[in-house]
Amino acid sequence: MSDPTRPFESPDAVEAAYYAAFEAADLDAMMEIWADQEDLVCVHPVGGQLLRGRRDVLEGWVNVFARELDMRITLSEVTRFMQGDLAIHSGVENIVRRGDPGLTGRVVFTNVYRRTGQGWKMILHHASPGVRPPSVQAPEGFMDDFDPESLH
Amino acid sequence: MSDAPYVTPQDVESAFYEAFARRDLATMLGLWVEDDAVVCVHPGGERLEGRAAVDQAWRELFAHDERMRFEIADARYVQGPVMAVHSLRELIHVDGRLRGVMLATNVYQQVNGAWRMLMHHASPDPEARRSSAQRPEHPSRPLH
Repeated sequence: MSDPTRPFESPDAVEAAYYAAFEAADLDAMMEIWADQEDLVCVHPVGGQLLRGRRDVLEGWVNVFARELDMRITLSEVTRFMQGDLAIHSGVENIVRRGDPGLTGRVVFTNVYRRTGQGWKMILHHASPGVRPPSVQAPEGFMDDFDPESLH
Repeated sequence: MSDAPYVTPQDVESAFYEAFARRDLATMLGLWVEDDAVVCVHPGGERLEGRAAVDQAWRELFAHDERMRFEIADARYVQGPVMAVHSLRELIHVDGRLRGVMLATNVYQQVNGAWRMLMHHASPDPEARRSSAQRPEHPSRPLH
C-alpha cells in the first residue's frame, strides 16, 4: 500500500490516486489529492452543481460517497497536456457499479492538475453525463414504420 | 477579423462568446487551436475530439438561427505561461430573457505567441433550472 500522504510526482500519479479514492469511497484519500487552496472547482455528473472551494468540494464528495459505492472506473479516450506547472486531462470515465451486467454510465471529464509546494494536486474536475452506447441492439427493421408525428 | 491574433486568453474568450452569439462560423472555427487535440463538449453532448468533429458540431449548431446573448458570470482564471483554464457560468439570453445557464470549463493555449481555444466543456447548471422553474413562461429546450 503506498503512502497516500506522499507528494504526487506527476499528474498521472494524482489521477491514479483520485480514481482509487473514488472506487474505495475514501474521503480522506480523496481530499488528499485536491490542492490545499480555495480556487478549486468540482462539477459532478449527478446533480451537476458548481462546487468551489475546499469546503464545497468536500461536501460534494460526502454526498457522492453516501450514494455511490462499489464503482469501478476505467478511463478511455484520454488526451493529456502538460506545460509548466499545469496539466489538463480530458477523456471518458467508463463506470460499472457492482451488480450491473454492463456499463452503468459514461461520463465525460476534464481534470486539471497543478504543481504545488506539496507536489501535483487536482484543482478542477468537471464531469458531465456522456451518451451511453445502447446495451441492447434493436433488431434490423424494428419499428421502421413508426412515425412519431402520427401520435398527435 | 478572425485573423487578428488573440493577445490574451480573455481575448479568445470574448471572441468565442461573440462568435457564438452572432453564429459567426468563420471566427468560431478560426479561434481554435489548429490541432486534432482539441476537445469540445456541448451541454448533454458527447466528447468531440479533433478539428473535424468539433468543426462539424459548430456547423450544425449554427444552422439554427436563434439569436443569443451570453453574459459571463463567476469567472475564475488559472493562468500558466502557455496554458490557461477558465471556469465560469454562461448566462444565455434569447430575446432579452434568460433562457439557460451553463457551467463551462474553457482551456486556452498559446501557440506561436497567440492564444487559441484548446478545450470547451459545458454542462447545464442545475441551480439555474431551479430558479427558472419559478418562471414557467420560459419553455425549456436545448440551447447549445
